[in-house]
Order: sequence, then C-alpha cells, then structure tokens
Amino acid sequence: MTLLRSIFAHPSGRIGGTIVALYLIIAIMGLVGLTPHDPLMQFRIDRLHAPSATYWMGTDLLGRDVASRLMIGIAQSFIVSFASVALATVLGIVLGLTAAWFGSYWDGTIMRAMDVLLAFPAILLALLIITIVGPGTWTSVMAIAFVYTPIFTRVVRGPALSLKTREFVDAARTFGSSRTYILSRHMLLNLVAPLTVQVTLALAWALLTEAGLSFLGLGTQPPQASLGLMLSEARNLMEMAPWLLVFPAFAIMIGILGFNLLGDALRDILDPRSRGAVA
Amino acid sequence: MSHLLSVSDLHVGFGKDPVANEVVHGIGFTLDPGETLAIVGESGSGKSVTALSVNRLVDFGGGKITGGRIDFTLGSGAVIDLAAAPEKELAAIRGREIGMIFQEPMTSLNPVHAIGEQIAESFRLHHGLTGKQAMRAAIDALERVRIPDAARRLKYHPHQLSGGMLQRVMIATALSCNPRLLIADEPTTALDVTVQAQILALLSELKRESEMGLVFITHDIGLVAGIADKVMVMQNGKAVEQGRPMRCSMIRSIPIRSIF
Repeated sequence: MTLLRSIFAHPSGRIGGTIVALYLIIAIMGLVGLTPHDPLMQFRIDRLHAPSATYWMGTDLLGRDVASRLMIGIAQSFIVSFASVALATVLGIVLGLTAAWFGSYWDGTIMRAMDVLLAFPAILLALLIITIVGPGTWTSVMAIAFVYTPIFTRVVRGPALSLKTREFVDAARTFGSSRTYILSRHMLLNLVAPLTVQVTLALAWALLTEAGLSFLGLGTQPPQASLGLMLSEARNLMEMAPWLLVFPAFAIMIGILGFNLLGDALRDILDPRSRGAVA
Repeated sequence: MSHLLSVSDLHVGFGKDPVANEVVHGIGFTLDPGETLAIVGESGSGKSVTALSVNRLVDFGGGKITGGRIDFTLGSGAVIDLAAAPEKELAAIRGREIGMIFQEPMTSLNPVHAIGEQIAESFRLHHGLTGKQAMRAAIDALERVRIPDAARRLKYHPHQLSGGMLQRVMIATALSCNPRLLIADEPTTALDVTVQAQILALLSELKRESEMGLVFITHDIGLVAGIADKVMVMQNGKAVEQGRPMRCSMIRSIPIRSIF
C-alpha cells in the first residue's frame, strides 16, 4: 500500500501508473468480452468504415470493429509480455543467484552463455527461436523470455555477489541456516528493489518485441488480434484507412511510455540512496 | 574430565594450495565450561581465523583446516572432532551448540527483515517452533539481553535501532538456543566506550547464568583483564604467549613491541 502511495506521489509514477492501470482495465474488459462489438464479427456492409458513433475507431477490411479488436489486442499483448517477463525473471533469479553463490566454473559457464545471448539483437534471437520451433502465442512467450533472461541474470548476479560477502550471511550460517534458506530469505529479499525496476522496464521491451514478432507474422496468428498484427494488417491500407494504423500504433507507444515512466518512478522510490534504507 | 573445547596443533590455510598459504601455524588451547578465553593480537595475527575455524565458518571464506584437531564436547556428552566433521553435522551444531557474534552489529543483521524474525529464525531451525511460538521465544530472548519493551521492538528493522541495541539483538540471536560455547569476534570494537562496558557486563552475566564457555577475540588488551580467565596472545599465526591475564611477561609480549 505504501508503495502504491509513493508511486502516485511521484510525478512520472502518477502518469505511468495511470496508463498501466488503464491498460490493465482495458485488457481485462477485452478478455471477459466487455467490448463494443464482437472482435471477430465481420460487419460486411460497413467495411473500412471511418470512426463513428457505432464504430469508435472505425472498421477494418473485413468489417471488424477496430476498437474491440484493439481491446483484445492489448489483452493478448499484455498476456504475452507478462508471461514472458515472469518466466525470464524466474530463470534469471535462479541462474543469477546460483552463479553468484557457487562462483568458479558454474559462474563462468552461465555468465559466458549469457554474454553470447546478449550479443544478439533481441528481435533477431527471438526470430531464430520461432523459426526453429514454429510460430504461435506460447512460442513467442518462450522466445521473449529466453531473450530477456540474460538481463535478469546480470541484474541478480551483481548485487548477489556483494550480498554474499555481507556479514548477515555469515551470521545466518552461524545459526546453522541452510543454503536454500539463506538464498531465498536473505539474498533474494534484498534483491527485490532492483528486480522490481527491471521487471517494469522489461515489460515495456517485451511489449515492443511481441508487437515486432506479430508484425512479422511470427507471433499471434490471425484471426486473433494483437497490436503488432493489427499494424501489419493495416500497412497496405495506410492511405485509404489511416485509423487502422493510428490507433494500434498509439496504443503501443502509450503503453511503452507508461511502463517506462512507472519504471523510472520505481527506480527513484526503491533506490536506497534516495531513501536512506530499504525497509 | 574432558574439556568443553580442546584445540590442538591447528593449521589453517587459504587458497588453492592451503598448505603453502598457511596463516595459522599450530595453535592449541583448551576451554572449560564457564571459562573465558581471550585471544589477543594485532590485525592479521590469525585470531579471527582461529575462531572461525572452531565452527568451520572458515570454509566459506575459502579457507581449509590442514591439520590438527578441534575436540568439542556436545551437550549429550559425546566428543566430536569439528576439524573433520561433515558439513551436515556442522550445520546442526552451529547455533545450537556454538553461537557466534560479530564485530559489526549494523551489518550482521539483514536490513530487510524485522529483528524479531531474525531471532525467531534459529528457534524455527533448531527447535522446530512455529510462527507464534517462535515469536514468543524471541520476546524472551530479547528480555534476556535486557532490551526493554521487547514485544514492541520485535517489529523494528535494524536501521531503527542503535549499535548497542543491535549488538544486544545479535547476542540474543546467538544465545537463543543456549549454546555451550559462544565465540565473540571483537564484539565491542564498533561500539562507543560506555556501550562497550554494558555489552561486556551483559556477556559476563549471561555467561554466569548459563555456564557456557566464551572465546573472546579482541585487539584491545585493556578489556582482557576485566573479562578473561585465560589469555592467548597471537602474532603471525602463532601463539606467542598463553596464561592468566596480566602477568608481566604478557605485557612484554604485546605484539607492537616487536616492531621496534
């Protein structure tokens, strides 16, 4: 609760938090079917209808309502980004903590492997994985998670290395605490602040990567909607029906802006130097 | 009767070749229940490494015991050689039979947990107590180290308490399972003088109450006379002097003199 309050006391946190909250509401409404029209229903007589009172954001080539499709598109994009970031976070925590804890060859192997993955541009690596496994929603979740795991591994490993030598870890050992207990209770909880910030920023990148993959036809498959897929379907009709392009493009842009502002605010709020102590 | 702790010919080394990089060369001492041994020496003389070897924490710092025995009499009366014991047995002994307090109370407690939880940790581990019981035990432990208003203080985080208070919390945690041996690694160095005196008085009181052995490491020779039954002076990883405190020869063996 205190975290929520400090987010809304922070200027960029207020804007970012509002945007993200709004997107979440839209996504949930899209998922439970509270859309103005059926997003898959084709209103054939109203094809390429400009935005009006009936169709708030117009209709596409097949006569489907853009506003409704945008809602389930946002939901789809959010599911993919949240799932992939959650997966990347878990993998990154496990790899980073064990690398820092065991050190030596295990650390060397993991971190060099992560360096190799980091050397590839994110979208290229994701493309490679999808080309091997085949397109689809869950493949893109896996691919995006895989691409962002190295970043989380590094974010965890750095502070974990310094936490490992802190006296409270030694002290925990003198009480006879087990390794798992020290790792989860003493190390991981001290990493919550940097991880929270990283998760928020990674959500923005994941959103963009998902849009990119869907745009290239490798993410969400039609007739389902996602922000990237809607852009891709609109690009040939840009001059005839600009509303097809403008709304999803803005949705992506504002969404990423929201996550980034929220991430910035969280970084300020959770930074121990600006607060004295992490409590 | 066997001693509580009997260390003989202890060798400890570090790094890839611990025999070549030896820092403790053949230390030996004994300690009986209710007795205090003070290990005195300049920085780098090996006093902390000696103490950390007793509960084998030295293993985690990249050290290795290369020779000698550390015979410790357990509560059950059995004698175990800690120098050769496997890690599993050691984990059960740490906290339960051997407690330890460190120099810096500020950094020895985890900043993200309330102190009550950190004290309760060892009750949960060694006595299998559940949440409420462990918290109740934590209040008793805090009262034992004379922290007033213990029930309220349980919810405090380390940054809300003073250094002296935190050191009391550390002592409470170390003593939570009534260990038979307490190792105090310069417990008063980071504290100011009046608090130092309080902590020392508390340690001797608690020692009298429970008949535990105390290994007290310090580089402040002034503290030794007041608290110790036995003194070992270390220099360059060797014991240069052992005996009762404040003999003339001990004053002469204060390591700093050898520099001139």
